[in-house]
Amino acid sequence: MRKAVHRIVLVLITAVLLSPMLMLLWATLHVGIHWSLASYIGLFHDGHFRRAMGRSIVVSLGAVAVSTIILSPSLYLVYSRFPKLLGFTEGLTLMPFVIPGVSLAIGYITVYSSGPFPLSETPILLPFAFSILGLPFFFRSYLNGLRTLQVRVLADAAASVGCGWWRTFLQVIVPNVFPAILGGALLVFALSMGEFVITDLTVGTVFSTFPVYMDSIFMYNPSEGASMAALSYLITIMVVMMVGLFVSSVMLRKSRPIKRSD
Amino acid sequence: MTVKYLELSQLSKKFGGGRQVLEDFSLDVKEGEFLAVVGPSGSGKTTVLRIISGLIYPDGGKVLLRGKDITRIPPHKRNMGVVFQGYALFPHMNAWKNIAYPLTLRRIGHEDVTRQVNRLVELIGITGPQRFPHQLSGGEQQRVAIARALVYDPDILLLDEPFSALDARVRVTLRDEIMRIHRVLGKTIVLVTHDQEEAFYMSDRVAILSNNGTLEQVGTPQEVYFSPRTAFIAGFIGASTRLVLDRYDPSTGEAVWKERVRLRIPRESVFEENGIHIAFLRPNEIEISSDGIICQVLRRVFMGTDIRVFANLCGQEIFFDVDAKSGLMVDNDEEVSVKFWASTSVS
Repeated sequence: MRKAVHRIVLVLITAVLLSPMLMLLWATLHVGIHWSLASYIGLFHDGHFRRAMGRSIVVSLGAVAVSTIILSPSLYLVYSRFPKLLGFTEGLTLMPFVIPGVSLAIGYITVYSSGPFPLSETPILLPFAFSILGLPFFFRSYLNGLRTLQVRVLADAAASVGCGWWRTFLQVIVPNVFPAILGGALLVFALSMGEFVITDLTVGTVFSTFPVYMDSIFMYNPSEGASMAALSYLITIMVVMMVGLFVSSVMLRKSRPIKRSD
Repeated sequence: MTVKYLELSQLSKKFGGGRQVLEDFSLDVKEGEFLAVVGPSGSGKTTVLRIISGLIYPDGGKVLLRGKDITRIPPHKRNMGVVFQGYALFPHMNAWKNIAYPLTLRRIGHEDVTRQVNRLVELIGITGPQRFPHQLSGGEQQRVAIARALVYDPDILLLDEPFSALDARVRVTLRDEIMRIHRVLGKTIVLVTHDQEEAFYMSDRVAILSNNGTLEQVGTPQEVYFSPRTAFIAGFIGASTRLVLDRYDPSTGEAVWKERVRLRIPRESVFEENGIHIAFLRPNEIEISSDGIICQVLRRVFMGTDIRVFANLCGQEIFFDVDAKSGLMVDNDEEVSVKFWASTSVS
C-alpha cells in the first residue's frame, strides 16, 4: 500500500516537472495532424537565430571565464587567508537572490550610461553581470569542493616545497577542486544561456541574445518561439549530462581504492 | 669548533586573543645535528617549527641560518623540508610525482629528476611509487612525504609530529628509518614531538618547552633525564612521584617528609617552588628493603621487563618497578618495606 502511494507521488512529481517540456515538444513536433521537425529545421535557416545563439554562447562562456578566472582565486584567498570573512562573503554571494535582476540592470544603466565607462549599451557588462547572478551557485559548489580538501595543510606543504601563492593555487588547489569548479561553471553557463531581464534592459535589441530573440520572435511566430524554447531545454540538458558524466568519472577514478597494508 | 648552523634568537609569538605562545625563545642547532623539541600540548613547539620553516613569522626575534637573517623570507624561498603530521601529500599526483614535484618547480632537467627521485625511492624503501596517496597506507604516505621533503636537498629537515597518526608498529619502524636516513645523509633534523620517549630515542639533543612557551632546558637526553634544571622538567621527563617536603637542608641533603619520614635526597632531585621544597622520586630510586618504610600495594601493572607497583605510602600514591622475572612478586594489599634513594628512615 505504502509502496503504491510512493509510486503515485513519484509519477505526479515527474509529470509536473516534465509536462511543460513535453507540451512544448508536442506543440513543436506536431504540426496539424502530422509529426514534423520542420520548425526545428527552420530555426537553423534563420540567420538571426544563429547569431543570437552564438552571442548567448559567447557571453555565457564569458561569464564562466569571469567566474573561474576572477572569482575562484578571490574566493580561495578569502577561504585560505581570511577565513573570518567567509561568513560575510557567503552573505554577499546570496545578494542576487535578494536583489531582483531588474534592480541590478537599472543599477548598471545608472552607473555605466555615462562617465568614464559608458558601457551600458555594450555587451561587455553581460559576462560580469551573469557571473554575479550565478555567484550563489558557483560559490556553493566551489566552497563544497574546498571543504573536502585539507586546504591549509596542502597550502603549507606546497609552500614548504617551493610554491608561491599563485602556483599553490593553480597547481595544487585547482586540480583538486576541479570537479567543483566545473560544476559551478556549468550552473553559471546554464543560467547565463537563459538570462533575459538584464540583457533586455541593458543592451536589448542592440545585442540580441538567444532569450531576447526568442521573446521577440514569439510575438509574431509562436511556433518558432516554442521550438527555440524546446531547443534551449535540450541544450541545457545535454550540457548538464555531459559535464555530470565527466565529473562523476573523475570522482570515480579518484575514489577507487587499492589499499595496501604496511 | 661547532658552527651555529641555525640560530633562533629571542623569538616571541602571540596568536589571536592575545595568547602568548612563545616568549624570549632562543635556541641553536648545529649542522648535522638531530634535535628534538619536546613539550606538552600547547607549549608552542609546532609554532617553533612553523617559524623555522617560514610558514608563520615571529612577532619579535630573529631566525638566522648560517648567520644570515631569514626571519622574513617566505617559506617557498627558504630551503626547508617539512614533514607534516597529516602527511599532506598532493592527492592529484601519484607518489612518484609528489616526490618529483619540488624538483620540477626548481626547473631541474628530466634526467636529473628521475635519478634523484629514484635514489630516494630506493633509500626510503617506497614500493609502488606509481600509486596515488589514497592507495597508500599511513606509513607509506609518510615515507613519500619524507622523500618529498628530502629530494631537493633542504638545509634542514623539519618533522612535525611525524608519527602521531601511525600505529605503534609502523611508528617504531619509521623511527629507525629516519635515524638511518640521518646517518646516511647527515642532514640537520629538527623533530617536534610531545612524546619524550621518541625524542630521547632519536635525537642527539632535546629542547624542552614548558606550558607557557619558555625553553626550560636543552641538552642530551642523559643530561635532561639525570640533571633536570627545573621542577617542570623533573616532573615532565620520565615517570616520577612528586613529594612535597616539610623541611629540606640543601647543605646536608637531609629532608623530612610527612613529618616523620627522614630522607637524604640528592640535590638534583629537589626543587624550590614558592618557598616549598619538592622532590621527584623516580621508580628506579625506590627499592624493596627490609629496613625501609612500610607501604601498602594498591595495584600492579605488567610492563614486560618490569612490573610497576603502585603503593600507598603515608597517604600518598607512589610507584616503583620490580623485575618481572626476579620471582619477587608482590600481591595487592600486601605490605612491603621500601627505601628511597637508599636512605630512608622513620622517626
